[in-house]
Amino acid sequence: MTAADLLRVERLSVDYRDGEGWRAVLRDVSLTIAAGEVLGLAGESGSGKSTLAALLLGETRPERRVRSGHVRFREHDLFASPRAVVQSLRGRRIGFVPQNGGAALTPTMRVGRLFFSLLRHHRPDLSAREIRARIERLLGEVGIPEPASAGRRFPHQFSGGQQQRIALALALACEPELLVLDEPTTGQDALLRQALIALLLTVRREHALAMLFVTHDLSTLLQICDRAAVMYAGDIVEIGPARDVIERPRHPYTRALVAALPGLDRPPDPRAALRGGLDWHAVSDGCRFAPRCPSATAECATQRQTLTEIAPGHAIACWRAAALDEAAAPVADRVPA
Amino acid sequence: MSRPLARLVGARLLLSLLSLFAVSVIVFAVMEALPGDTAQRILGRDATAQSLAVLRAQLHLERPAVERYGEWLGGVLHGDFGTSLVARRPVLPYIAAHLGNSLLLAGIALVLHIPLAVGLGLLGAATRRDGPIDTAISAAALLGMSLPEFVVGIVLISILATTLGWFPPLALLDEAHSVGAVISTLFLPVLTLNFAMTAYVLRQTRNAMFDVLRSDYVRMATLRGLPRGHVLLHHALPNALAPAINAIALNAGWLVGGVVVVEVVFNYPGLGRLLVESISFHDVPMIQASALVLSASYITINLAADMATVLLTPKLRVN
Amino acid sequence: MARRLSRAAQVGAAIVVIYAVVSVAAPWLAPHLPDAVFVGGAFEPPSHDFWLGTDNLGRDVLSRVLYGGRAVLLMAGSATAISVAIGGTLGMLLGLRRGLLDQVLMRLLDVVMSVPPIIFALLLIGALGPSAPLIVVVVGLLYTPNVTRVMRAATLAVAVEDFILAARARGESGAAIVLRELLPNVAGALVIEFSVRTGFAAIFISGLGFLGFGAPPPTPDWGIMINEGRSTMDASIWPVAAPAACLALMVTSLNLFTDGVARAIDRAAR
Repeated sequence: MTAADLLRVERLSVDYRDGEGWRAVLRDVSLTIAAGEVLGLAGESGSGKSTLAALLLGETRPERRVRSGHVRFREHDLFASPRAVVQSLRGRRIGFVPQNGGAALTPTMRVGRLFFSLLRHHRPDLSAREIRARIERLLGEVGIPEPASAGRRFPHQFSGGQQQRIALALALACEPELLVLDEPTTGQDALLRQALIALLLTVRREHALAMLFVTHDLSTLLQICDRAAVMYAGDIVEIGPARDVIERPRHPYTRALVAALPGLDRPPDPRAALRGGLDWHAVSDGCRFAPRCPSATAECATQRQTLTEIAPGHAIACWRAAALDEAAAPVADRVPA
Repeated sequence: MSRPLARLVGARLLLSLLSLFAVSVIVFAVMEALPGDTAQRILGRDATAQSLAVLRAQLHLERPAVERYGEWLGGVLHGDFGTSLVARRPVLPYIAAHLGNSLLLAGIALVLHIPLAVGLGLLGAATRRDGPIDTAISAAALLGMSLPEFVVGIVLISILATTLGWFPPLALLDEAHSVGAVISTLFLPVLTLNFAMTAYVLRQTRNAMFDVLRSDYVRMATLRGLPRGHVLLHHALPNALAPAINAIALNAGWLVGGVVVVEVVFNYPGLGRLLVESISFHDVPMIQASALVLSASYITINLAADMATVLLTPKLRVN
Repeated sequence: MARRLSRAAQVGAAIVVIYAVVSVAAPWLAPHLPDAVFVGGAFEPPSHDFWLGTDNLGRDVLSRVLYGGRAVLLMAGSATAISVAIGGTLGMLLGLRRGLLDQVLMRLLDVVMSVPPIIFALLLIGALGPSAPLIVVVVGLLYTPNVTRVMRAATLAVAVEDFILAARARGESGAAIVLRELLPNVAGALVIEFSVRTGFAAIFISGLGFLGFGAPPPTPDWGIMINEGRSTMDASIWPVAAPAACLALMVTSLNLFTDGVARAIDRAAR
């Protein structure tokens, strides 16, 4: 934890309401993001990564509760601060780009007005003319054609890809320090995805933004992230420099994820395939991954795993990591450059 | 106006005209053209032979029904609704005066209930769902929808008029000569009508708001740090209005029937009371005229409401 | 199913059932005959013999309320049954069949619905004379177009579902599709329609009674009772208050039940 840390998640445990009881959806999750740093968060559906992303904005929902732990943005503890404080951070210093950008734009509001009311609220120091100029600049920056007149149109008059870009522009409007993106490229075709990634790289460079980039696509993660964290069923199983985590994965789950990536010249290895999918009713109390882990022993299911550093800045949550290292072959050649 | 919209409006207009024509046939047929002895049926079993004969002569029942209908319809289209059998005077002035009174009552009730209902629905949705305020508002709405207008009217009269004396128990509009007196006369009837109408629109607004409050765009507006009031008013409400507008349109049509009962309860000189009275007096031309005009109002109001809904909704229903 | 309803809805349902039972058992529960006149006893306050007092003609209010409830419930129930039977069948068939017949019939329904219901009822009853069967038939027919519309919409929403298409592909006849595939899925809408319509019908029929177009004596009817007693409320409020309270409670309970069913269906669908 350094002074340059923008965001710190400290041993966060979160439950979802399940009938009459509560089910743990995040267990003792810790991570940090430094100013200007891009952290990728990977995992399959249901791993809890979207929940974590929403929690970085201090979002509360009646069916969810923070059992223990903290989310700190700079000096603010998001779940212990007054609502007014959290509201002042949202949109202004922490931006959020949701998965389905179009659904996040109010259908009855012209796009320009969406920006205008946002900027009016967060930057009352700006004049109307300055705001309008900024809107035009933002829309142009994200590649919306005819940015001067685009503000008069309604969201449904734009294509899906453009709506996603508008959502991104909205998140950047007040020049936040941290941008949280929840699967911004999922569901788009390869061309669109590459264009969006290029845009994000430009934006990052020009605004010196820190980002949390949630995705299940490891190759995208590698293109844009400095560091990467891999989640499985509410636990962080591996975290470290992006290139290390993806080219030299140490945790069995990460290995399986990476092995499943199609290389440009060879198909994925079926022997590395995982059995079944994430079944929340069949997770063990110890290591969550044990039921599907090809290297699991009987004790793995009962032994809680904690993140242990195996190299500077690179930690994994698997007590069999050292033993598995000898058997594993490097998978660097699987990753598309 | 765009082509498909113009076509829609034209189709609706045509349908309304057809309905109007059908209604005129129905109104005439029910009174004068049902099988059996018309005069006997109108005057009842204990009618004397003499009164039967008089009625037959007045209505020219010896002529075929279709001919009588044509004559009546022709007169109506020229503004001649015939002569009242009871007052022995032309029907039209009565209809006009009473129609004006009914329109006044219905119009005020319609206009007033809109902000009241939408405001309450918004309030209920703004607070916690099933919390104390929301439950109170929902319970009041349920009650408003369940109580018949005549019960509400009688209760209001007995409490606010008879017991407390704040308002007159009968709405004798013709004797109200100042604006204050008119307001005082109209207050209870309008309140009675608004009970049911407000309840209906309130529920629609509240339910729609709850749906909208769960949407992605409302969630995002909050995650962008916008204040709750702004989110409710500018992001949520506009998207919840479509069902509310639909409900208001339905209320407009409902008023035509509701006004009949309320006018009788308050003895208000409107077209509904005129219809009921003329039926009990067997005043056939008056019955036909008031029924026809009331139905025509119903058709017109429904047409206007449909058009308003169509015109307002494309902008709102942008998905 | 009953447990999925909120407590309020369960209370509503229970009250409606109580109403139904009491109404059917009215002849046995009522202490006196509804039109029995007790000499010298007009506007008596509630007493041991007359739990709710007597009305303007010296008749027992409680007995009249019980018999009146029977009349209202029977008439409202029958009228609703008619409208749901005809309208439901018609709506489902139209929703399944589509095509020219559907368009024509819907336009026809639009025309029929353009007469305000109360005007039509007043005209017919005024022309043909008030009688309970006539009221039931008129109200039933008046509500049929509405029920048809609702059931048609519910059918349309379901008709594009895969299991209907599969049944069609298997060559099943229209009737078989309706009974086996469609009915279970639109049953919810049907139940809600029945419940809501009964409430509306009760209000409408009492309204007719209030206006003087109700069933002829000796059948007491809550609407008629309210009308008769309202000018003499200072002498005794019971002849008006009792039927009014009963009517209000019954419709409120029906609506509570309907709300609960609608919410339960909505929750199950989500």
